[in-house]
Amino acid sequence: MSKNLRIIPKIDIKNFNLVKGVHLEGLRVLGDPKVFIKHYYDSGADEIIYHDVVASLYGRNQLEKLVSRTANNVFLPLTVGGGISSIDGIQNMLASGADRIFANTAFIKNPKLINETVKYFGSSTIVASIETIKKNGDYYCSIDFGREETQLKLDEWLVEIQDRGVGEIIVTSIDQDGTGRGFDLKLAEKISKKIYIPFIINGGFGELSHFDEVLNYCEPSGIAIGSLLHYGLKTNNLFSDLEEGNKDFINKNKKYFNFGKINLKKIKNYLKNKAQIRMI
Amino acid sequence: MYDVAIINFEMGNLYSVNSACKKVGLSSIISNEENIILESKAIILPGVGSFSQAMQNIKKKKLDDILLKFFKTKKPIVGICLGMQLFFERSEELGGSDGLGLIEGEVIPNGKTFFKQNNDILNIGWNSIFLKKENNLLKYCANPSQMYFIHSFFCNPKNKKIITSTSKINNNVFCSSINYRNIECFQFHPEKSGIEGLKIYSSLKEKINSSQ
Repeated sequence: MSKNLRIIPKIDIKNFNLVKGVHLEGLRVLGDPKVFIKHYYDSGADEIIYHDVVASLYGRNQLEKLVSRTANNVFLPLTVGGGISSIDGIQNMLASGADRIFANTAFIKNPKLINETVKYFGSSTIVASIETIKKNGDYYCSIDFGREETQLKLDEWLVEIQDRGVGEIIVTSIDQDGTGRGFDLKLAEKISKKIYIPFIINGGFGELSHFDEVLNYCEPSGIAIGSLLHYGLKTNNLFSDLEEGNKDFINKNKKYFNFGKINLKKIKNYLKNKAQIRMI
Repeated sequence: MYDVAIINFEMGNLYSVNSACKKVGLSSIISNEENIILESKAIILPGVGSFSQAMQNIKKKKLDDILLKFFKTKKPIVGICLGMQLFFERSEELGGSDGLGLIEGEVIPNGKTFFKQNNDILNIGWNSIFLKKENNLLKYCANPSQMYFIHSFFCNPKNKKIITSTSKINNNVFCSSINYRNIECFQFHPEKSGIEGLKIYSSLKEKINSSQ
């Protein structure tokens, strides 16, 4: 049986709204993150990942207020990132109620920052995020939430960030993100062969079978889920109407997601005999 | 006067501990001032990060003396995660450093013990805790119940009788909470463990109220 496995709703934020894209692009506004998070807390989320997805592009992070409000009522680990690039920035976010901080762009631009932040805050607080895209059979790392590709190879970077001391890694497959076609299994296998520290996989989960499929290739410490949970909630009318239109997308892509049929409880129930899962 | 002083040595998730206190109706303050701490009805020593750095910060602010004074008042002391480990005599972290020494025993790494690895390995996620004793802050928690852990080291108390719950990593049993005199400590984070974890804060409130 797999090690203990956290099921983690991933909350992508742009201008205080929950957004979700496909391949990290075409971000659609889904609504008020509070409503989603409250529902996820009540239905068994093991952690919340908060990601300000435009922060690193604009060099700012607006999450402090949202994080504080969440931490007043949601007693779960809060992992926060997006545009964080300094010790001060991390300190502010932790003081606002975040438990762990992740970064991608800042670490790629200045890898020594990993050592500095790990030394200062401890490896348990510092998480590296990787957004990877496949090119000619090789995986490369992107920055600025997938807006810019780099020549940095995933293989090399995985080992480097592990050596520099981060406690955990979040790996997002840009190719699978938002498609509902399942996580990239080759990628899963690659990560598990390259590193021994815990890692979270993110991108593509669209039906229950995707979860145990991926567990045949790797033993992640967490699975992050966006579209599958958010859109499911939407069709259950658990949150108010969309602020901006994306109903076309929902209608068109129903086949990729079991909209309204899969929720956190069902996922955890499904996985409870395949990994160590917290049941509430 | 506050119900709880959350000891501020500039490390740890002070905000969430404060939120959890407020959630169950405890008045709380984040402080490193002697008067405020000693007047409080209980204290919480939180902590995330490196053991040696924490001890340095504690000594710099003379919090070690204040903690010892508070211990002698017999009022409740709660330690969380690194805040648990600091009460022990010594940690093997980064070549070794001395702790507050109120509890006999040492703090040892997960990696070497459970994974046969010399590197630090985080145990991160929800683990079951199996309750070993009654009449402590865990009394309203289910047995077993699941709590959120994030740690690379764990405590090995010399006197096993002080252990109030155990957990497992890779099928190896370790100590996940202790109760020694007026000190109760948790390796996991009650304030990050949902409703089950908040029950620990509720029992702290009950304990404070009943001792008045």
